Amino acid sequence: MTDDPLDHRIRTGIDALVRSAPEPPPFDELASAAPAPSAQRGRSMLLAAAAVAVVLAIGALVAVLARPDDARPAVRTGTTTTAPGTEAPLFDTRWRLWSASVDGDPVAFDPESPPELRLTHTSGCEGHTEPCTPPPGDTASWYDGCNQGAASVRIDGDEGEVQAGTGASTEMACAPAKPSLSDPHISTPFRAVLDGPFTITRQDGDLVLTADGTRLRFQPDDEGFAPTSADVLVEDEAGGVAYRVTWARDDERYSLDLQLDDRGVGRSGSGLSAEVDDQSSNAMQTGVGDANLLFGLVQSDAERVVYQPEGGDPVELPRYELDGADPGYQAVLGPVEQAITWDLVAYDARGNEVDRLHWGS
Amino acid sequence: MTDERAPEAVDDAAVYAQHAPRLIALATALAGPATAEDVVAAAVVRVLASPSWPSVTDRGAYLTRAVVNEVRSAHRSSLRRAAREARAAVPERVDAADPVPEILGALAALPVRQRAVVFLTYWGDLTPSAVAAELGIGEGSVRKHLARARQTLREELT
Repeated sequence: MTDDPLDHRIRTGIDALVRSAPEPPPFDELASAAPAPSAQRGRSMLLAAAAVAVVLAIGALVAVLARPDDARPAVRTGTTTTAPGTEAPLFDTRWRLWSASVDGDPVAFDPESPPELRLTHTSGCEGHTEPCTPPPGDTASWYDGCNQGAASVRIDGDEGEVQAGTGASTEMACAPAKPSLSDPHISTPFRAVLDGPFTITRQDGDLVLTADGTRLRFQPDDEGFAPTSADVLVEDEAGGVAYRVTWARDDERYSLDLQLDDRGVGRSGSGLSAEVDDQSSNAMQTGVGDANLLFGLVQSDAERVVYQPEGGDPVELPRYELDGADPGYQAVLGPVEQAITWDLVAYDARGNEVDRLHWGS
Repeated sequence: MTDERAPEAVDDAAVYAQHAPRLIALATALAGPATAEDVVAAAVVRVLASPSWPSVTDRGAYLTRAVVNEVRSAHRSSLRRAAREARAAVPERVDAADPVPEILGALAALPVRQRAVVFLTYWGDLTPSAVAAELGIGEGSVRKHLARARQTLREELT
């Protein structure tokens, strides 16, 4: 590598970059130096008790905003680009929380990292700006900059209702320097809406969800999700529970969603994504009835994908072709032995390892 | 940075002091100098709040991954914007006649994972197996990312 002029140029560039590096922030100023967002998409179901304790301990450092609902700027700031007279579509728009109140009292949240809501669907409501009645299986998903969740939601006219049962959600330990849905301050009103019947209205282009005395107002964000209709990849049953896996792709990422139909108990779902140009595997395990399913995205040129639980037997997973794009991804899905520590290993046609996703310690 | 790691420090402040210089260098390479402090601070704060942190055995690698993930996070739009601005600002820091801006632009255009592999390989002088251990990915994946990065850079620079 040293004889190649390219290597010299790369080293020169890296050295120039590193020379421009600032001094690292002092340890005792880390909490205040950290920006409010600390996004860590949910990748496991961990109890966040420890994180909540830290949140409480460092709560004084948290910058939050209790924004009255009527304190809207005359001209919107931030990234909203919806043209006057037009409204962002109800579905596949990234809705960012603008204000929250319970019985008229504003609820504080971090304005730099507001909780997000996304309404997704499989088909039937493309382009609608007003509430419509999509076919069953539609999902309301939320993301608060740390944790995420999803629940099947029925939207009928101007009313919506999360289907019976609880949606899947992650309980990640997040940075203390931000409030999140782990923080009851904001989680209580957010979940009060998403845990039961709620009403949907559009107000000046915004989306307003209300339930009892709780009111959440969201603004559309121009970094919203590209409208995509998800394609059904697999419909099957495991552990006595029917499930469906759909996939979609936008300009930035592939996404994979798994929804369960837990016969009389309710519907729930979970999902993951992988960046188009990154070509790194992503996968997760989820309980389906008394079974345990692994589903994930693996670079498209892998010829064999093996799940390797620590101390257990390796299992080759069935692969599912997606759109055939290059570079692109393929999906893997199959029942596996649940493990805390595991690897997902991808091999090429010659048996060479081309990617490895490691979970656990 | 070498393959042989010094014994891990016991307390968080000492761990941070031990790894902060290379973390800030890594963050600068991945996100630009204007955003590097934010990236390191956010990554370390998140790591220290994680319930799994006390049981982590290789804290240096864990922190490396945290910084990479911080930059990679798909929902960190503000950081992405800042990173773009930082990358755009980098050429102003050097002489316009210097060939360095060209390579900086090409490096900045690489996907984050490829940039991390390039940084650890060229600046950290790590072998592919050591880079794999640092990033928690397979050695084959490291070789693939490095090959793709070098191919892209060669195309961009010739």
